[in-house]
Amino acid sequence: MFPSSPPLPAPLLGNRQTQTVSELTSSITVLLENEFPFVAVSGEISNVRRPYSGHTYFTLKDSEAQIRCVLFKSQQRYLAQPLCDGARVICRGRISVYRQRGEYQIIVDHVSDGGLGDLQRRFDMLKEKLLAEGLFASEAKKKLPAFVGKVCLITSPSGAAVHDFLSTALERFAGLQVEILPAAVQGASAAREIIRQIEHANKRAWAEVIVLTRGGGSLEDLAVFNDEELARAIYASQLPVVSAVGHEVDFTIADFVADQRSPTPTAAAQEIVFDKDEVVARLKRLQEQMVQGLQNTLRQKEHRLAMARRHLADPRRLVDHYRLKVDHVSLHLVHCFARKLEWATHRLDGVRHAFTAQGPERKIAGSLRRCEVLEHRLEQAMKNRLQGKGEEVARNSARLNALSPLAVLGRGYALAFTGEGKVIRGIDQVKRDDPISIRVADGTIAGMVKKTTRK
Amino acid sequence: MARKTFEDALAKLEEITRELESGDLSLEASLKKFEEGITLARFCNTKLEECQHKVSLLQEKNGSVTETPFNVNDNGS
Repeated sequence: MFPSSPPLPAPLLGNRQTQTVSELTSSITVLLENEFPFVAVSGEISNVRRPYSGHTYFTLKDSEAQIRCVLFKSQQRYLAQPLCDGARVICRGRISVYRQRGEYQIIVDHVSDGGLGDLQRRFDMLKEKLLAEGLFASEAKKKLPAFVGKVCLITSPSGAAVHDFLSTALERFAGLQVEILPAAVQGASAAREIIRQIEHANKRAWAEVIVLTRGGGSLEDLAVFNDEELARAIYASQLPVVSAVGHEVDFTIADFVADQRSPTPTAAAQEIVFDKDEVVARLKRLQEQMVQGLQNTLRQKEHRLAMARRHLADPRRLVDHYRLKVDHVSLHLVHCFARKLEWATHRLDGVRHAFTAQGPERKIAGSLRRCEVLEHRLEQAMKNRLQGKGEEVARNSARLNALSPLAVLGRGYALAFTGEGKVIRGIDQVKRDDPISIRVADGTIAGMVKKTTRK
Repeated sequence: MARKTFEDALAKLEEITRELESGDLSLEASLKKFEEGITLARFCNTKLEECQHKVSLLQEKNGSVTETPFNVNDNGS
């Protein structure tokens, strides 16, 4: 029975009307349920009861307080392990008031391991350890083939992950071949089953890629992917392993060690499986480029051929070409020579001119002229002289005539001459029998010496 | 090994296309490459068309593995 509540002090009651129990309980219910629509409480489980209904009732407590909890049957399938007294857990749910008994309790939706701090610590330690061992090294990662045709899918065949992966993968490439290796992806045996299937896939050596996948889940659901043995199995796998665990935020150890990590099964399908349409388009493009390339080559060769042929077609063209060239060169030569000749002539003229200016010709000419002048002057002078003398001669002739011995002859004198014509001035000039001639006024008498007598 | 050949064929086709586009080849070599390229392209196309998807579920019973067809459309949510 309800313990009777202590009487409220009068001032607090104020003007308030008295309420019935139901009314107050309703108010409390509204208050509590509105105030706490969602709670997450950590504590230790105790007093677990599981009546016929299949629901689980327990108390969550810590050192100072406790609170009633109920986990309905429908939610129990999500438990990793059944609830047991003493377990440290985190319960998520809402506060509910049970009016009939005046009690409040948590209606639990989800129970997770309360030792999350431990879990995180273990995760970090394992990560450090495997990192140090080189399990996450990028050099250790195997490269996925560009065109994956055979895939081993390790997952739960009933999960949404299978469908998500297959629908996307087959849409991209309908020729994809998939083998599903079933394994539990949560729960205690999951890690062991997955390891077995990884080994199995490697033994079969049929697939090109192993895809390890599951749909989304809580952090605890993914605990299996933080298993050390699983990590080592992934590392040891000869086939490349893709980890596609449906969680966006956190990485699992499997993600670190896997050769590739995809956030979801769908993403894995997109990343691993090539899109056939894309490849077909690429093929078509390549074919077109190839045709284009060949056509270009052909055109290029044709062009070169045409060029070559044009040169080859008419040898006369070449002859003409050289003929013109020769002509041109000859012309040039002639021109050059002519210029040179002209220049030489010009120079010769210059020299000749200079030479002539200085040469004897001019002197000769000058002399000649001077001679002529002199001759003329001489003539003139002579003429003048002769003229003068003539007159003088005429004048003197009369005088001379008067004085001439011949005139004397007229007076009876004679002149005797030797045979040689000399005037005989003495007897020594002649001898006996020498011819002589005697000039008289009117002629000459020839004679001979008979005798010379000195006086 | 068909897949490998497909991959190689595509890579080879790309190489040939590059060579043909560069135009450095002799005419004979070009033609030869072109023929090879066309063959490769045809091969790739055929390979893609040939592929028929197959999804099977492998289950182990009493130490032996049984393979059963897995119907894609019936599964999933």
